[in-house]
Amino acid sequence: MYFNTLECFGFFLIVWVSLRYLPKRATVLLVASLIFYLVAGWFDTALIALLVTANWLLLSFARTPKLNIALAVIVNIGALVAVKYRVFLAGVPGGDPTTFTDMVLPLGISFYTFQLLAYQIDTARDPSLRERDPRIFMLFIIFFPQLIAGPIVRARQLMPQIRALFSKQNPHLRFYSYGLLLCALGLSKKILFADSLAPLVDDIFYLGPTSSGQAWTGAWLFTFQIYFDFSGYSDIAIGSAYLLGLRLPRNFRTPYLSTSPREFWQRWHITLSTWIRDYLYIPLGGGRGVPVRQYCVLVVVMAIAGLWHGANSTFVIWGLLWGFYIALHRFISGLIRNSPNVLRVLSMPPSRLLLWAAHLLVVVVLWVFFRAENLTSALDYLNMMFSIPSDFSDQVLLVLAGSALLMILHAAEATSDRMASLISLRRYNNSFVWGLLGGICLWLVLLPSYTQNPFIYFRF
Amino acid sequence: MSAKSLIRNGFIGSVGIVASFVVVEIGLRVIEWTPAWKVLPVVERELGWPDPDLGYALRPNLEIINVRENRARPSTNNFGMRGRAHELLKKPGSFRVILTGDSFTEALQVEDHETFAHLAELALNKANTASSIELLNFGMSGAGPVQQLTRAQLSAQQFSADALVMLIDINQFLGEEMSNDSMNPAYIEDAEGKLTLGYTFRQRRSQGLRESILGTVFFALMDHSRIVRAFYLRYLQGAVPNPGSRPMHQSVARSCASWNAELFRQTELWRRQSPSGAASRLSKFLNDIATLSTTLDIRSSIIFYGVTQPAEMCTEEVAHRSALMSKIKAVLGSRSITLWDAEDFIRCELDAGQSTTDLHGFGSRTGTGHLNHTGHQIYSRLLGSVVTELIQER
Repeated sequence: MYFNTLECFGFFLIVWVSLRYLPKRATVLLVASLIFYLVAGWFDTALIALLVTANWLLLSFARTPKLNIALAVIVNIGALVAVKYRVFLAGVPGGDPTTFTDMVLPLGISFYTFQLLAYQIDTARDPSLRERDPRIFMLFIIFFPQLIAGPIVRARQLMPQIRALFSKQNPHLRFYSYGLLLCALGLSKKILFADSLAPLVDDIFYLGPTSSGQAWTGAWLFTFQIYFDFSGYSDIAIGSAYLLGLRLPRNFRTPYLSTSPREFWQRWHITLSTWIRDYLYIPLGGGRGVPVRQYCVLVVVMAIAGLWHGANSTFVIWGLLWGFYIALHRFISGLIRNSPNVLRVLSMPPSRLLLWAAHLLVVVVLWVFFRAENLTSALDYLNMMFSIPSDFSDQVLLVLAGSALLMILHAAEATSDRMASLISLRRYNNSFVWGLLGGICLWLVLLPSYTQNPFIYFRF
Repeated sequence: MSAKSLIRNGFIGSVGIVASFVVVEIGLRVIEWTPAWKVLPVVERELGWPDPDLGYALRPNLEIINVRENRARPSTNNFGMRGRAHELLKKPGSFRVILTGDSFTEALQVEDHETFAHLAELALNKANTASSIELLNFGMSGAGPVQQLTRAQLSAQQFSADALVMLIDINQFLGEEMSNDSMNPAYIEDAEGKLTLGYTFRQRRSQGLRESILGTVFFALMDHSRIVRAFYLRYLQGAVPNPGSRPMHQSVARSCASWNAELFRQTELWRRQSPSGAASRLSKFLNDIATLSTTLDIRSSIIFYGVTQPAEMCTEEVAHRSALMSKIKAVLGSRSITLWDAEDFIRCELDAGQSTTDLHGFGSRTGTGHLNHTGHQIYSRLLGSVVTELIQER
């Protein structure tokens, strides 16, 4: 059940009304989450049920924290490798790789296994976080708005809210306008922008660019397609969770406005970045030891992050290149750290603008590895991107104007944070705004669509 | 919350929902008015309406945004033809051709000036400066042979046509289009067992809609409100179809035997009149064209497509196809109808390295679907040749 469908809209409405008027709100959410997952199929449901049960048993019976973590890694990563990477390695008969969304994987497996693993590690480190009530544990894992593609939530973020829900102490979150605004924003990003850019990107990547201009256009459009798609999903997840009474952490903060790789990963898929940092980078000794060792850890960790997206060499290369880029940035930052004049120049607006443009250029180029079908296609594509431009068709201006518009929209999103301020929330939290935003959400999912457009990150 | 407060909030909320309609309506209109229509979501307009003679016909004076396969803004003229406006009265000395066909001829995937009918008309007029040549494009999605014939019967005299060109998928003679009159006219047997045109579709509720007040309101709403249209389309559409895998770029290697199977059915029909029902309907159809041509003194040509050319290495199948087309040519010739073999013509027109699949589909879906720009270019040359021959015969 995709968030951008009428069925999901109806399902959510029923859950919301039930939650509001039925006495056992936590049970309603648990049942709704189970139904949501059952729709995905029996195999998907059986697998998540098995993993939730196995993790619950581990929590109950593992004797030492170390053993607990070791077994949790074996169970969760083992399941991920066995299901996800086996499917990728075996290939998908009849699949259509060019649509970039058509992989047959158990729904949300990459996300909930990471969430389970984080929980196991957290409880091993701090036993007070351990949950005794299996219903609370289950809802923490399968809460449907964030189940499929994140955000990857930590126990300390969501568990207390779910506990309060079961003990009937969790208050209704009153600012419906906030939740509805996020839903409308997410649906707009997905339906108006990501789905509209998808066919253009597919055409260029599938047929291969015929000119340098077309190659840049394809890469640039994909840069925005993936952002609108994934951040759109996250917005809907956070917004709908809020409407159901639970707060989820943010996953994106206008990442394309960042001026460095470090800043980018603090703004892009934030919950995955922090997961990698806390459960991979730091335990592997990141930030400690000699610089060379630090850089090596960084590159390895980023390669693993790339691999998380799929067992394809393009994802690994994408991660590796990000690792090298971050390492290079860190190396240069280290060199100029003690040069106040250089730092002063770099902090001036023109320098920051240049840094932003240069960094964005790298981001766009790296996305080519993420989108390309294989390494050869990616290299051919890059070759075309960096070939000497031979044509300047009249469409170039149109593409430039469209691209500028996308960037302005992206920047404007930063201002939407103002809506989240308490004063704004109070001012605009009334039934007129609820009706307006709810109506916009309904019309967005009602818009006729001629192709199936699942969220890109559903494949991960 | 008190009942009074609940009612008050409910009312204000409803006003908010109505306001959302306005916001979405304005948003969709802005998309249509700006170049954003090429990319952003738009709600397609209803291009056709119920018709008592054809079952369904294109509405006159309409411009729509087609979003399937390739985005374009096709339009219909004041007579409901695809493309530019035409006068009812023929200019003295001009040569008028009625062109009927299915969605290939209708060509909603390209602009008006990019259809093969328009391109052919331009080329013909450029080559024949002495007289003007008019191609009246009556192409319509899903139009089978009988629907096309009905269209020709209705329009040939009205527009004082000099010639008739029909573009027909030859496989339709073996399909339900010829015998099922529940959606459009078809040949059915009367009480005496004679084939006659059946119009069961006229009993459909939608047929009465066009002239009724309800129908007028419906079409007015559909024309002027994008959100009503969106709601209606969503209702019609149901589940979103999966576009399936992308087509292969080059034609897939086929065994020679697979062509034989394809040719066998047509050979049975044209040579051995089997199945008999389809054969008698085919015969009736061809006779009706001949009658129309004789009555109005017009020349008629049929362009057949749908019988794929076997690969050159399949010599036996190539010969089989050639014999079949000769037979079809003879059958048509006996009724003074000229046959044009689209597949054969296209094969000769293709550049080196091109295949027939290159004429269909757009972007990454090249290889399947309707004619693309290359396809229209080649079909325009085909149509140009057909009309040139008709002029010469005249």
